[in-house]
Amino acid sequence: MLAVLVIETPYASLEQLGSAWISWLNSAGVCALLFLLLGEILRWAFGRGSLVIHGLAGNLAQLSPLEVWKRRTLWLWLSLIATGLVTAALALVLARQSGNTDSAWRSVAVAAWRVTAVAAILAFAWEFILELLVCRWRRIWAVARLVILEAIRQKALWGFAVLLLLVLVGSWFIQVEQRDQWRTYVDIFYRTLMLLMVITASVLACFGIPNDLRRQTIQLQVTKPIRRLEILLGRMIGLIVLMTVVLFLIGNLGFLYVFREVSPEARASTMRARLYQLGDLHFEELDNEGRWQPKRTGTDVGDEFTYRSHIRGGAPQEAVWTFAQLPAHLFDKNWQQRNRRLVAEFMFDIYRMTRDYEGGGAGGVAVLIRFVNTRLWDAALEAQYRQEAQELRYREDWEEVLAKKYGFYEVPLHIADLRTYSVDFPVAIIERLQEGGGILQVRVTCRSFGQYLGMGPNDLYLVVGESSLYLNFLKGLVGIWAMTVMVIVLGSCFSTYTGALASLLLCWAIMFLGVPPVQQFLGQLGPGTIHRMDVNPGGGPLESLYRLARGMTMAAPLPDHWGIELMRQVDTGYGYLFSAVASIVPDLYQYDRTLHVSEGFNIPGGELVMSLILLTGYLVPYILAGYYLLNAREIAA
Amino acid sequence: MSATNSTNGEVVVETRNLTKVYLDFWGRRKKEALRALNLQIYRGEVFGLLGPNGSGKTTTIKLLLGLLFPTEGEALVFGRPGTDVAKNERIGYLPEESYLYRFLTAEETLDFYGRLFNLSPEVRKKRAEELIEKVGLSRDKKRTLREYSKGMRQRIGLAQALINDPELVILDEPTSGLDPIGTRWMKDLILELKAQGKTVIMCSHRLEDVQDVCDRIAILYEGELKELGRVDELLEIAELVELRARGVRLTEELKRDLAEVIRRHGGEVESLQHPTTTLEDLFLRIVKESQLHPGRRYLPRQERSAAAETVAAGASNLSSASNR
Repeated sequence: MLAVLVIETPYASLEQLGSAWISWLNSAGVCALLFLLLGEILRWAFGRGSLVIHGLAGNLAQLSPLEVWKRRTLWLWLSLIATGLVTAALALVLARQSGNTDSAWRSVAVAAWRVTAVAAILAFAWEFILELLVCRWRRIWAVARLVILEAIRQKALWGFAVLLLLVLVGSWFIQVEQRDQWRTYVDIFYRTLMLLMVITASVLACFGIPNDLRRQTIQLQVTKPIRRLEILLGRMIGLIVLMTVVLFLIGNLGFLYVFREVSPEARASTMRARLYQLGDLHFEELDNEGRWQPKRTGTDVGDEFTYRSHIRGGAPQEAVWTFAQLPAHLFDKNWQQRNRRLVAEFMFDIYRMTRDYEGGGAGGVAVLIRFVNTRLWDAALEAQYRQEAQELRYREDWEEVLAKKYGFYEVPLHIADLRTYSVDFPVAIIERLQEGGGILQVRVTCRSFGQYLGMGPNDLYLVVGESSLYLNFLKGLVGIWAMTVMVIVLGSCFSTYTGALASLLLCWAIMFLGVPPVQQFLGQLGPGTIHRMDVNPGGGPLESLYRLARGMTMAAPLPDHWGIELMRQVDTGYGYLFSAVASIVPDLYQYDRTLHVSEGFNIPGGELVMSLILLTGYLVPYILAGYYLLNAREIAA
Repeated sequence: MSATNSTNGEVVVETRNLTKVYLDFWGRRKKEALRALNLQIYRGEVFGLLGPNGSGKTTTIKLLLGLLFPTEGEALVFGRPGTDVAKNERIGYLPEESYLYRFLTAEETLDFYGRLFNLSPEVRKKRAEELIEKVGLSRDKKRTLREYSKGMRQRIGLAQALINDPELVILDEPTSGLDPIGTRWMKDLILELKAQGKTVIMCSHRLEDVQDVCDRIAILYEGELKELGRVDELLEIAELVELRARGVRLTEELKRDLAEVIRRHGGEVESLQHPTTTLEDLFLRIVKESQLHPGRRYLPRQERSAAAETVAAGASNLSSASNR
């Protein structure tokens, strides 16, 4: 049987596009400002003149009378930056003085900052944009073709193929139970493919331009009317096309391989792509006045894995999943005619306070699951419901009839620890939800005294359909594709200025910083958490230095002094800066969909699209940086 | 915009105080590869750039092509700076070494570079076939360049330099590594390009090759221009006359008289001119003088004569003063 989706951090969805855009704007704006400043300093240091006259890449120095608008537009962006920064600073000062956190000055400061950020990004990207507009696809594709031919004729992919073959052949010797075959082989295939694709792509990308420079083959290219941006884009596109084709071919072969490895008996139950609907989990407890009080978490049993919270057996505590949104097809009459029952699957953790044997029969933990349509059901109707249930029990459709009338259905059962169960309930429960004023709730109670039942947000879900297994398998590969594209762009951009090995190390370092545990750590140093004792004991860098110098413990209170306050403000500023810079590290978690595929869950298309939008947001700054670095490079030096 | 010299035609390449200094990682001056180079190259001529190793020839070429950035001054090609990509539409470049992709065949090589000029597939195909035929590689066009000899790579290199039918062709050591037949072929090709009205810049160590094809030359030494002018004028030894007549200048009247004399004696004058030395001699003399007098730079002939007269006058005055 498949497990549930234990996802501690939800994947980004299209609903978050607005907030993601604001977050990107803030980070990219700060980075753009920093790079403009750095670029100006370097231009003066190397005697190339100010970017105000020459542009960051030096392409605005020699302009014809018709082209002078290019330089003037840059001046416009720079003026907006200066104006925005001054306005934001003044507004912030006035907001502080007013003492009102919601003052209009704060809004002005935010708006001014956003204008600054947009102007900074445009100023930084200006020459890139101008160059992109005159790039020719024929030249870009010429370089891309060259890269593909080179990889094929230099036999660069042979090592990749040999390693993949070794791992897959080796997996034949792994003894796996039938119920775990799909999960295990998908896991092996995906992880191996992910690793090999990322390594191969990074090596190809990091060694491409440096090899061209070493052999001086790039010199002949640069003496032709090809722009450096066309060379960079051509290299990246060539590798992306090549690795996409490789991934597609290997992916299909992999699907056949995994399909073949899973025994026929296990296919029906494990090889699935369930369309699932998650709900919002909260807990409720009956208070002294008989009212159910909502809580964010249940009882803490001291478990280190904090994904799950617990309810106590035999106590007036419930875990409640609320399904405010349900897929539209569930309300379709034809669909309801064909599907009289809906399915809910779940897996709970049992925290035992007394010994009992696990399993079915007399053992296990007693659980009561109730499906409630809040529009129809009222606790006061329970007595009436039970009486009518007794009367109608002889009817075959008694459950549907009662569900439709009362919007209520319950299932008592015994469950074991961390096993997935499936219960179905009459679809009639949700029939009138579309009319508004109610939602579907699933309420879970533990009825075994002395035991605790643990659940996380994704531990219970509705199965609302079945998607194509093959397509889902391919959707899982999109995450691998995204990571491959990432290393190609990173490697190509770093190698415009550094050597092959340095680029490779930088590339892998960035990818390492993107793995979930490291991302979690980086998130602790943001402006919102830098002063939180539970997250970041000891505070920011200046505060830590102060404590070290004064021999203070991490928890010791700081003296009340204006200097200390200033120090903390600087640390907060550091938090903003760090957060902006750390945001250039892609969050790899968003691209790893192995769990979805191995556990038989459909990957939502919206989440996939969002992850690709995020990918674009991550990669654009690197492409810009690569363009400027390649422009600044003396090819023949 | 290109300037025009009333005697020599449109200026295709111009350097103005062109200087290149290589810096180390800390920004300190490591090597001054080129020092205030001023020269002009005109349309339709074959221009030779000579100098020993490290004199700045290749640096000059690379500055013109945008492979390096000037430290000071300007390098202009067709009136545009060396870093301007658009000017490359009209240039063909053959580097000293074969910087071609060895995994490509001759056809693929020309197709690739043709694409970089945004040529349509039909034009690319036609030009590639013509050039492969011209450089004599028709039989080997399907083989990868990895299998080519040095001479063959040189020829395909020349073919890629001509794929866009350029107005300006820059050849860096074009006869290097070629046998006498290949050398002859290359020189004939250069003359053919000149006949087509193209401008050719040629860097070479092989002085006899430069002497055979170049109209004008510049000699560089340690990054400075030491000599510039027409080959025939530079190689001419003005104080000697072929007839070995001393104390007389070969004027037109004298030529006519001599011609008349020869004719009266039943002969036909083939040429009447001052004898020339070899380019090699000139080159070595310049290098030796530069070693003896470092810091001496190139002066145009008129200024050189005036300077010599001033020095002579000064010496004469001193001598008169000491006598008195």
